[in-house]
Amino acid sequence: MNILELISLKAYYGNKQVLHGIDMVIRKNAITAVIGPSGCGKSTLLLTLNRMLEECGGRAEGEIIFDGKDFFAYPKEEVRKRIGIVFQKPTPFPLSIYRNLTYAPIYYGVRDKKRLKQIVESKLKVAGLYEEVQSDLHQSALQLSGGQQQRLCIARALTVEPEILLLDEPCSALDIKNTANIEQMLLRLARDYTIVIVTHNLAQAKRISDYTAFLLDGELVEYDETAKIFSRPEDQRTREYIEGIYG
Amino acid sequence: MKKVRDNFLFRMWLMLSALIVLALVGFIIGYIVLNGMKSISLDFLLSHPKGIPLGAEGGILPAIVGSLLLTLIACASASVLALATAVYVSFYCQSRQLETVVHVIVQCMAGVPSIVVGLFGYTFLVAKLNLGRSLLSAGLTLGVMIFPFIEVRAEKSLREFNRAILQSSYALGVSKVYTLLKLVLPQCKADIVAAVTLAGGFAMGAAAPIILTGAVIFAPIPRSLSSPVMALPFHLYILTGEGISLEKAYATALVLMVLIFAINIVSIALTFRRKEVGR
Ligand SMILES: Nc1ncnc2c1ncn2[C@@H]1O[C@H](COP(=O)(O)OP(=O)(O)OP(=O)(O)O)[C@@H](O)[C@H]1O
Ligand SMILES: [Mg+2]
Repeated sequence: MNILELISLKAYYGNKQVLHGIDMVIRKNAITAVIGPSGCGKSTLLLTLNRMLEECGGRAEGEIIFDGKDFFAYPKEEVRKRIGIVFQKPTPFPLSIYRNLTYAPIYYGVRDKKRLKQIVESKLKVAGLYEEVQSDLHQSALQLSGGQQQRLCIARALTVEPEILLLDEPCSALDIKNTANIEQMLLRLARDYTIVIVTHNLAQAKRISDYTAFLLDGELVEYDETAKIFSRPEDQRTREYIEGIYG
Repeated sequence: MKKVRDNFLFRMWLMLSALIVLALVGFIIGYIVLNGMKSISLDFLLSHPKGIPLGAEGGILPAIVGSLLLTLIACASASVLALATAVYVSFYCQSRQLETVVHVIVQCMAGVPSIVVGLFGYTFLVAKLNLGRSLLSAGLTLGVMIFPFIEVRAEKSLREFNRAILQSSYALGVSKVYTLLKLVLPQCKADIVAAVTLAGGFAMGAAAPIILTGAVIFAPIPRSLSSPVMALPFHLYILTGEGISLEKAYATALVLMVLIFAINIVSIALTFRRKEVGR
């Protein structure tokens, strides 16, 4: 089933066009990887998909169908709640770990202390951070390591129970063990959530994703099942990109 | 060799400047402390002016209370407006032009001489709005005077807030207001409070804006917002200007100085604490 359908989606920063008409469907409860060289518009694509592009000085054109309805007709807060994003750089709030995770739930009306505590613990467990921080949930989130901060941000994005989770190179600051943990986590999450992950790590895309999209200079060159993209790419440019990195 | 000599001259210049400034400040403070200490007593602090002419004997309680009340009103009114302006300009204003206009206005306000602010207070608050020469008029006039200082610092502090963190908050679907109240203001609180206290010290020492708007010679402790008020700088001005009592004037100056020092120290401590926390 398709949860998102992009039809001729374009994105601009000022006069500069960054996405040149993307047509693509995102399938529900699957992991979709977006690969492509630096500056090709991967982050811009994710920003468009949770209505953060305009906050970052850009603007989108074209059509998106979200859950059967016009994406741009939803209030943007609702889109942002239902489609969560984790940015490339970890951005913990300058609050305690606990308050980082209760920040959004309190906004959405959860007041019950027990319920909040339960949210914090369960999301930390999902993100694989619970073991490391359980002894002191009230320490400042800024004292965590880069990798821990990134997992905290993933946990935080999950606290509002989004349907889709967008991740922008979540593993770029992590070591092999943490990366493996996150990959395990994403595979588990894919049962309940739809995941779109931008990655420079082709091996990672191959390991965890069901579908892979190859983006080049703001155009969708090829989009297919991951196995197919990596074994029998149809487009010459896809083949070159994949081989270029491997070779 | 030339380099060594230049270096030496440069250092001499720095040292001399520092010495001169320190000596001057030290002299002023020492002079006031020495002369003021003689007439300072608990009685001086806690009693009303007496004697003939009035003020030659007795104390300065009404002026102390008046100064504190004026400062309070000035800080309260100015910080509400300044904070609102700063938040609007840094978070809501979409138009560059409007932002520039606001900045120019704030800069101009900072440049208006305090006696002109006083005249404005007189024509607008006292005469036009019919508030009379009162604690309220004088406090608000002082508020107008310190508004630009608080606004500039508050806005700077708000703008320094990390953009990526703001965006992460919006990305959760959370509103701007909630982000401001829960994330931004707690971070900037110490900075803003420091700015307000510093401006408070400035307001407390100003005589010009209150002369026309609320200060009345030897007014008693004000009973309401519409009563006239006495303030330390004005008291000082009367005591010396009318040649009533130089001794009492030194003592008054000392009290005023100590109060302003105390306020500045609080403000510095707050700024310092923020730096500590920020690390
Ligand atoms: N805020 C912005 N204002 C103007 N141009 C921008 C902005 N953000 C990105 N761009 C431009 O848009 C293009 C695509 O950027 P984007 O961040 O989407 O690339 P990316 O594929 O995520 O690259 P990377 O892999 O390096 O993260 C780049 O040419 C970049 O210069
Ligand atoms: Mg990017």
